[in-house]
Amino acid sequence: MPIDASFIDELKKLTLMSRRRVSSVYAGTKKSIQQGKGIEVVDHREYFPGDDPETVDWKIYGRTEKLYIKRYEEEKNLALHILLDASSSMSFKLAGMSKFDYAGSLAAGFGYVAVAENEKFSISLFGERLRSVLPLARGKTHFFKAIDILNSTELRGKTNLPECMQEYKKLIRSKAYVILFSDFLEPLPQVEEGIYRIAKSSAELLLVHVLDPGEVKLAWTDDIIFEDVEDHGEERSFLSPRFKENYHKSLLDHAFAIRGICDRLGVDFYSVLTDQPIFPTFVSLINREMENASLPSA
Amino acid sequence: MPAYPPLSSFLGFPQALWGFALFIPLILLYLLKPKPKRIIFSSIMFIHRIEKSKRFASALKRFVTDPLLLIQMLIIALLLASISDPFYKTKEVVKERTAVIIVLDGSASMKATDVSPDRFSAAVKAARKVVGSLTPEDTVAIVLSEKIPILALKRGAPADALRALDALKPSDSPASLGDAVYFSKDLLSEANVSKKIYVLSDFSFQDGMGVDAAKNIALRDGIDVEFVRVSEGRKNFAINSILAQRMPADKTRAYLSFMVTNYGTKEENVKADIKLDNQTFDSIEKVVPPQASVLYTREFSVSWREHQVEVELDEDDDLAVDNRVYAYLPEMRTLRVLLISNDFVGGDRFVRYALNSINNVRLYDSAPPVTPPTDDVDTVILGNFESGKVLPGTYDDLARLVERGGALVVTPSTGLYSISEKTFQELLPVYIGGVVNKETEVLRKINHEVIDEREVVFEETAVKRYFKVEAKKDAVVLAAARDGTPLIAYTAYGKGKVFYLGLSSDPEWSNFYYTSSYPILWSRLIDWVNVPLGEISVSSFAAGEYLPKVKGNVVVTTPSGKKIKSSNLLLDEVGVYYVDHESGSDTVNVNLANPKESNITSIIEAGEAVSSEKFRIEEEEVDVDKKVYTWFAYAALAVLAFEAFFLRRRGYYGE
Repeated sequence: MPIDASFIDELKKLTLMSRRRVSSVYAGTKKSIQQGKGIEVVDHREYFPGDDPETVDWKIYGRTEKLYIKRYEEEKNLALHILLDASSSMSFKLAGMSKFDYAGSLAAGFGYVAVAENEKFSISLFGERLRSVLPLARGKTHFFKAIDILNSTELRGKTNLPECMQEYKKLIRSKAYVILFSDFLEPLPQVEEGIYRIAKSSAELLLVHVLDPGEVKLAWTDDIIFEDVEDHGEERSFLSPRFKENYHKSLLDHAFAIRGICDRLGVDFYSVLTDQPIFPTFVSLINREMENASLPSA
Repeated sequence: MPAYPPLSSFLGFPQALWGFALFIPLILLYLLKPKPKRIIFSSIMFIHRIEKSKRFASALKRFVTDPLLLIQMLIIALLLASISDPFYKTKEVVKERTAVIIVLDGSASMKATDVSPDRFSAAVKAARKVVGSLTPEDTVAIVLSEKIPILALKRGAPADALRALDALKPSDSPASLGDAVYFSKDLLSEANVSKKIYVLSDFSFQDGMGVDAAKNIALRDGIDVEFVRVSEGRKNFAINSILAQRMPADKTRAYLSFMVTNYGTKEENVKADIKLDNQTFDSIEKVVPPQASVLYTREFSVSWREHQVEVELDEDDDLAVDNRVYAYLPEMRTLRVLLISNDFVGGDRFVRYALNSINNVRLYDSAPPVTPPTDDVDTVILGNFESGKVLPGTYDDLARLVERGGALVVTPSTGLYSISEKTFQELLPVYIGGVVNKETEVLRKINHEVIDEREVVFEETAVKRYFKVEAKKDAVVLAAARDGTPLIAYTAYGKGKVFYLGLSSDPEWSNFYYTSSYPILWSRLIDWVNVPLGEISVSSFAAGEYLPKVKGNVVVTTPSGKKIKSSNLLLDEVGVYYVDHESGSDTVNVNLANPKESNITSIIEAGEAVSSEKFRIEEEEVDVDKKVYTWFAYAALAVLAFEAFFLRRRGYYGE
């Protein structure tokens, strides 16, 4: 299913405030803009409340009576890297959108904002290995290429996060703001290793845990044979309320464990469900309202 | 090919096993159950983890996908097993409700100490064994066999029987076990219960119906009878009879005789102590051979007062009750006797001789027509008198004499039957007919004190002539001729007695005058007719006899000191009874006087009697089918409860 076009339309209607919020993402939440020799002012942009007052270019203010801040070479190097899990498990959907489509829409949103800010962004897909890497670039053409890739991607294979992150980190040449979209449905040690690897190479890392409500709350009863979409393994179970309770607990434990890893590494972690409207979710992501978000209870 | 036991050997309803056919539709139901849904899922990682963590999951899954089928099949199997009424054979003591009667021998021989402490106690001990084997649902009655059966416990629970047994004691009288068993049989009329009579006795001499005969009658009525013997029977001496009386010729001399029997197997020296009024004044020791009796005799002086004579064997044997006997010598007084007779040369002279020889008799003679007043005499004897010479009013005087307590003795007289005076006819105990000129012997009808067989014998008496008389309704006939004609009879008249002595003293009529019994009879006759009516004229009884009825208020003191306000009394204690009545008081001696009862070594055959030492209550074990269907029913319920728990745990609430 293609990336939701209506979402793209909605992105256009982002209010100024939202844009500013988006832009502030690029300003970096860490406020760790480095200054020093060899850093040149390459650009200016309008001052927003919250910006460092020391970066205000007073000369321009003298001329225009408008506040502008200096943008240094280092700021301009915080490129947006979007990594999207394209394994078979991301194809799961009970109703509505698949996890991949949902994640892809969110990824497209970030790409759109980057374009709007005339920033570079890349988008890559991974599964067992890294595939479909769209290198850093700017502009609408680059954005639409990304959309095409997302729309035409075939979801296949398993997920090997450590391997893929190891591969991708080699492609990062400058400080990166990485957003990783996945369902993280692999053994925790593997997830932990993958996060470690990409976190090292990122100035900022955001993990977006995408799940379908059907995965959280098993929507079936009685005797079921589950077939793993990735490895085609089977498991027969009798879905009693107790079983579902145990399953939900296992899933929560897994998510909390990943959160724990992220907290140790100073990585942002958010869980989203595909039955939630995309745009508010996206805005929430941007606005960091989901800082303490947890999986909704089954 | 091994032979398998048939299903019916352990299943009461093997047809129920056809129910296993229900498994077919049950299994089909499971087979036809829709296949599980197949879901392509993003990851089975968590599902797999949960399934793996389930207990026994891997083992069970190899055999069954859903244990519910097995559980339900198990429930059906258990229910079918229960319905098929399974059982196993075992041996059990089956005890049905029982009605039991314990017949205890309460005769004198049960006091024998050959069994410690005595036979009766041993019988009670055996009775306790019987009671102890009963359940609270059983009923028990106790019959004490004495002279008559005594119902000690009518029908009670075993606890009541134990209390009743504690209160029972044997008597000094003989018993009738057969009568007691027969009596008991009629008590067991309840249907639908097992009935049993236990007879606990030494099975020595028994009165009445034979106990074997009574047992057979009970068996015919479906009542089981078991004999338990309590005796070993070793050594016993007994005084079987005692005779103590004043000598006819000298009432200040008494004659004592008693028979001592040795029931043992060895010759023994047996010493007897003689007491007069509780004072031992002599002892006699003689050798008594085994299974033999020896007569002991003694004469001694006594006063005219009443005396109590007691003889006691100074021997230690197994039955003490027959080692003592009692006798009573009543008080003597001078009796005034008037002989009305015109015969001074005939038979009446022998009468005079006899009467004059009695030292407490003052004899007056009177020959009609001279008849002295009878106010001062105690007894009038009508001898051979000329009835035509009797003055008018004489018979009325006689009647008044007897009415006020005097006595009249009528002997055969030639004119006796010609006396037509109504008063006289009414006095007589017999109707006088003609004379029978036929020889006869004298046949004793009852062993009356007057003609006590120990002293008055008729074997040597030949009667050639006698009056044909007929006894009146109230008369007591003591002796009769061969043809039944009363020869000796008496009746009560007013407060006195009229005695007909048909044995004439005339040599032409009989030779009775010539016998040694003649003066003895007269002496006893005079003594007896002068005992007022309403008192007890006989002072000695055998244990088991009844006290004669005494008119008016009476209090009887028994040898054991009990006071009973009735003369209707069974004399079941050996010893001296004191009877206080309106006319005064009497002393009654009761002795065992039963040679057969004393013979404790003689055990009659009582048919399969078991000794009390070997007596056991047999508990019969029978083969019973022990049903176990409840086990399977409970097991089915337990598995059903487990199924509910299993479903609940799996999460189905009412589905």
